[in-house]
Amino acid sequence: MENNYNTNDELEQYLKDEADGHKMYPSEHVWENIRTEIHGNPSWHALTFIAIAVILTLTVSTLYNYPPKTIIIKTNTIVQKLDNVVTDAAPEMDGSVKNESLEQQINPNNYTAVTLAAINDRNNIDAYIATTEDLVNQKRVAIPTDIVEQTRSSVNNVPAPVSKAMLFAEGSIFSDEIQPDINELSITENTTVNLTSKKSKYENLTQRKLTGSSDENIADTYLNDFAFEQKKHGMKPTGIELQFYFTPSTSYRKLEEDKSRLNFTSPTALSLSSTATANVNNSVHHTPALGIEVGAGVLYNLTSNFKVKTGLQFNIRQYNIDATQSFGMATIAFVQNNRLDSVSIFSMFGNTGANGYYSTTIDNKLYQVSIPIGFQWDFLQGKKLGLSASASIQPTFTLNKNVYMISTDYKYYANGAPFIRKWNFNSSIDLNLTYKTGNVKWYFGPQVRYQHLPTYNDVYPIKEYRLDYGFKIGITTPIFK
Amino acid sequence: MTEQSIIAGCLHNDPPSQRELYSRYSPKMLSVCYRFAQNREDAEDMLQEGFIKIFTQIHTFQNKGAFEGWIRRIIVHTCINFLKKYKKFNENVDLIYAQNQPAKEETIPSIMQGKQVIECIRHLPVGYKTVLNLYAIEGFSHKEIGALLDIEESTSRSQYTRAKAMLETILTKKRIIDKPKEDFKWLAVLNK
Repeated sequence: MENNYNTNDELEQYLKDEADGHKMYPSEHVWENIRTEIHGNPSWHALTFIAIAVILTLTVSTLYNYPPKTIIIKTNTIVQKLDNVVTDAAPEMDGSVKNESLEQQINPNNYTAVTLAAINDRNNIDAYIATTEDLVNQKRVAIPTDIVEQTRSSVNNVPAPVSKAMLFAEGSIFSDEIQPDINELSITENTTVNLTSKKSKYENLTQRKLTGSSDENIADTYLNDFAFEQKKHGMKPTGIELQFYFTPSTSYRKLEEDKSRLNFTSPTALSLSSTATANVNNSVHHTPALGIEVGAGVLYNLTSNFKVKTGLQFNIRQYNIDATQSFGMATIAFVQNNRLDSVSIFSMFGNTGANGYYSTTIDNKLYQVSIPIGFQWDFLQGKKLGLSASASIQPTFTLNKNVYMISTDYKYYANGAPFIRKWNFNSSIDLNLTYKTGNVKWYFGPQVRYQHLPTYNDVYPIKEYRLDYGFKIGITTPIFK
Repeated sequence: MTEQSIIAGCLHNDPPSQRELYSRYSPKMLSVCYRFAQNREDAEDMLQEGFIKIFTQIHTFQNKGAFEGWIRRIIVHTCINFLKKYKKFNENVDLIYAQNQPAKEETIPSIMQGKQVIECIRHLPVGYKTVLNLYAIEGFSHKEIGALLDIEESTSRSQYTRAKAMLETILTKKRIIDKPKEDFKWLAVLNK
């Protein structure tokens, strides 16, 4: 760079030139913050529109359907059925009137006793309509006795596969609550819909009978209706629950060394004597690191507070190794088939006691998938809060091989891939505070997880067992059918 | 877009015009902020506050001078207020204390020379670099600096002299400039 200033002023000019030529580009979030500060948060107009539309729709539909029209509709249906009674009766006297209205059919020249009777019936029907509407307004519905009797007889004629007991079973439209005297039914605010539904079935049966449906069809239809009735009462818990959880945890490890190699005369130049009496736990510097478990499971209720469970879980377990950056051959001595053997692996990391270029930290990390199988005991259940404990054993498969093991002379850390144990067993226990919100139950509590088999296979003489302390956060929600 | 159309758009609170103004001037202004700030995050906060002022006060611009100069002045005032507001300035503006503080020259990264100069300025004690920035680069007078920083005009002068000497030492050590020759207080010739 050319610096050509000779006076004080030139220094200032030089600095000014350098500063003016300097540019830096701000992060995008700076503009986002400025825009938000000036114009506010961007709004999605479609969302507003949809929200207004939904509110309007709900409001209009609520107003339109209030008071509920179900009763009125069904009342009209009853009248329709009664019309049919009349028109069905007419063909016996005069087939030409079958499909025409009563008023059109009445011919003054054909006044007969039957016709007069029909008119009288119609008058009765008109009176009935008025009465029915009044009763409906008073939340009481009258059902003509003859229809009730017809229905009773149709029920009595139901063929063998459908027993009367079934039809009068609890929940049936002919159950005792309406059976004793169907002529007059009280409709309360709470039972309006159900009663309407039952009345509708009742009318359907009546209509089918009147229109000549066979008893067998009536029975089939009723069974279908009955089945439908059961579905309407659905959303019963299946006794199965889904569980989702994650558990941040801290991994610790314990090392145990098998020194059976010392019983053999070394055929190699292994410096075994230096570690003969040393404790491996004192020779390494490991620090716990944060791991996590994430999983989903299925719980089956054996009793109201005891459940068995299984699922799938992903684990990350790790700890840090204090090491040095150095190069050398890590020799692992081991006993196999009753003879001493060794393997040498090139290493880039030395133990802290060894000479190294500079300190470093190795991340000894395991990725695992496991299948927890266990139980959960909700031993204290309040309305909202509760306590639960669970335990599981977990067949575990190790996915990665990013692990480091100490050499026999404790001087180097080598890639532990050749010795890794792919399948392992863990067990886990946890104690949770539970909190229920609707159908979802939240779980919060401490968890301990222990690895039963050493991380490496039986050939590697230093046995590593891992122990995780975690805090479980999860939810369960029941499955309905 | 011309500068006038950008200004007109900003006067109508038009987002595209504001974005254009920001895109055009933010790189230079962030550099200004960076010279005053302790780190990049503070610099971006200063820039953010400065541009909000620019957009909300743009109606006060009277077309009497350069628009960039007007923006720059707002940004500089924002930087000073930011330092005062977060006590990053007051706590360190004790110039007598500052003059005894060694510059952290060992932390200056050896990167491109242009940026090295900026980094050298940034690593001066906060009181020194503030006066140096205001006087040598932003063109404020010592009287204005005194009023801005609530210090005497003479204090501003003396601190500027010391800041300049310290900066010269750093630049020389970093071989950005040669040692001044004896007959000139500031003489440096590089790349002969």
